Amino acid sequence: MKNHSILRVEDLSIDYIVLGGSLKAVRNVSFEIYEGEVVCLVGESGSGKSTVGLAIAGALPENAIIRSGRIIFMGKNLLEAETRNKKVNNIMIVFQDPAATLNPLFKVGEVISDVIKTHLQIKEREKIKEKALEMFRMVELPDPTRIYNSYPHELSGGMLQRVVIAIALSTNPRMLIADEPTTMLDVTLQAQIIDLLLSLKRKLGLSMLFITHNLGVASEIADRIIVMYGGELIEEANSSELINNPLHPYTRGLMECIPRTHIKYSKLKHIPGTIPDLANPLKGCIFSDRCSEVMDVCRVVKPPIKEYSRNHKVACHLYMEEKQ
Amino acid sequence: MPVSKEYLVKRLILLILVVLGVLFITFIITRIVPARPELLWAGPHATIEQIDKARKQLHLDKPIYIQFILYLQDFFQGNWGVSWRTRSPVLVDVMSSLTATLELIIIAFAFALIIGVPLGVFAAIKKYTWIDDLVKIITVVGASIPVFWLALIIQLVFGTWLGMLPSAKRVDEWVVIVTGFRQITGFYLIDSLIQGNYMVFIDSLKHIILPAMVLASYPFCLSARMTRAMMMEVLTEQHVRSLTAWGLPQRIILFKYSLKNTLAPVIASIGLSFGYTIIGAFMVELVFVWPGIGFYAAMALLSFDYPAVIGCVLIVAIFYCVINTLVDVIHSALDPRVKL
Repeated sequence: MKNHSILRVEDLSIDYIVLGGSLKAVRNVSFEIYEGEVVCLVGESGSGKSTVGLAIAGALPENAIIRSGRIIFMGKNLLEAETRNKKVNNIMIVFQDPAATLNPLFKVGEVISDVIKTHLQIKEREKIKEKALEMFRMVELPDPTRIYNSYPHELSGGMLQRVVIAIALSTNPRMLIADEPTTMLDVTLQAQIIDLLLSLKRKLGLSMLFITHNLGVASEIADRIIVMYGGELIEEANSSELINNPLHPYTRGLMECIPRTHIKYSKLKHIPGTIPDLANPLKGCIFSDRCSEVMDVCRVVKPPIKEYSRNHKVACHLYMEEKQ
Repeated sequence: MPVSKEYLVKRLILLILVVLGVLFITFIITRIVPARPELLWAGPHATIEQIDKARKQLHLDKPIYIQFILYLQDFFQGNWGVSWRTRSPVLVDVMSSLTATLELIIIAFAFALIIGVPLGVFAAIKKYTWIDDLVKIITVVGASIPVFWLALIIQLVFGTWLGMLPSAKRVDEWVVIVTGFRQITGFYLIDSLIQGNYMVFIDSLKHIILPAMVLASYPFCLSARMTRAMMMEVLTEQHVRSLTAWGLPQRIILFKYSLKNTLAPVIASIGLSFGYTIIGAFMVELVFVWPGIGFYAAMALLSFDYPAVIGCVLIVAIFYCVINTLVDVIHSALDPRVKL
């Protein structure tokens, strides 16, 4: 699996300019994705996971400012102006809400045709349409010709998400970013869409960054899981390692929050407190005010992310001494 | 364009109801006003007998409801009465002044939209820069300036000082006489083209530029400001961001995709403004001696020319209905979710 890295994020920090100041949404995040790998970025709302994904896809909203860092994709820094415009057909993104992703006034065939025309330099209308229909067939949409001539409001959520995946894959990308692609769908559809993404990933040899708040989903599909909290990366490990041996108190809390059916009767757990204030992040550990195992040092010194064992990194003072 | 038959029938019934309502109300109002229109009809230096005769001729001696019924009888036979001021049939008067006005405001609004909408898009892209500020200043000032003042200034600068363009009437009389120009539709620009009469075409084009410029000022500012506001809203929407993320060129995202989302509300407000301007162009028509319907209606009101007043009000009411229907149809053409 670990051949060479296709994407490397180094020290990425992103602020959102809002009324009355700025939100430090992402702070000093670094990680790597290897070729053909599925990496899950897990965290709750406001953890900065989507912002990281949007930054890689080059789809940050206008009020976002990249304070520092590099995003190196296939040897090129995407944040440099000259590479910015060229990367798009190699990294494509699928968004959370399929109904909002597509312009309601345009037939979906029109949109996918424009994307194909822009990236694949195909001129002939017939060939463009052929390619679009081929993409629709690939994402297992029934009756591609009808879909091609449909407006978004005429299709169901699951179909729309398939259309969006078809659009994203129509440029033959090397990497796909899926920003909570199943959150807005019915539970039955979630599994279908995830299966589709995984099978396409295998078929096309894609690398994938899958962003989700659902650790259960992540554990099923990911090779590696990265946990974010309050804009910082707090734990990173192989999927099975993280599930079986979560280190950070936050990750352990998340694990306990997953509803389980085989335990006869137990209250569903939750992590007390609320997500941190991103305008003025805590000076010490970002999780220190909610942590059940907080120590004095946590409130003062921010724990750096350190390798705990092979394939397992964590940013927590609990594990600092053990290693030393 | 999914326009159903039911919708059109509904609109037609509505139009008939509106026409009847407007007829009733304007008729009653004109008869209640304490004025003596028979004096106008009888002319100056009329004897008492002549005035009494005029009263009888105009049915002014009968009760109001009889007068109304008599009027309705004529109306449905296509006879809108005779103007008491010009003594020609109201329908003929109204139609010829209506075409004059329509020619003027269609050109004005086309001009306003062609310049205003792209300017609004441009301001939205360059938001919060000096370009945006400049557009804002121009459009706020333009929308606030009284048209009659602007009309006078434009007339003074372009007509009198620079002497570039004529500043009164629709066409020069001598050009009409020399070339033997005839009216067909009442739209001089179209009529002259049909007849291949390029002298009249050029001349009426010259005449229409200044008043059209003045009339365009308000819809121009309106469309620029509305487009900017709508565009700024649309540009923050997810579907625009997804197109950016998928790497489509900015030009296509803006002018093919986003612009379509902004147009429906712009068209709606421009449509309303158009309906209003049919009569509201009166000030401009007055300054530029344009024989339009606003001008005609004002003269009719001032001289208690009731049949003409009713005719004008009716035409405006019909046009409002038609324009609103058109706006709906355009909206449904733009947005596939709207079905009429």
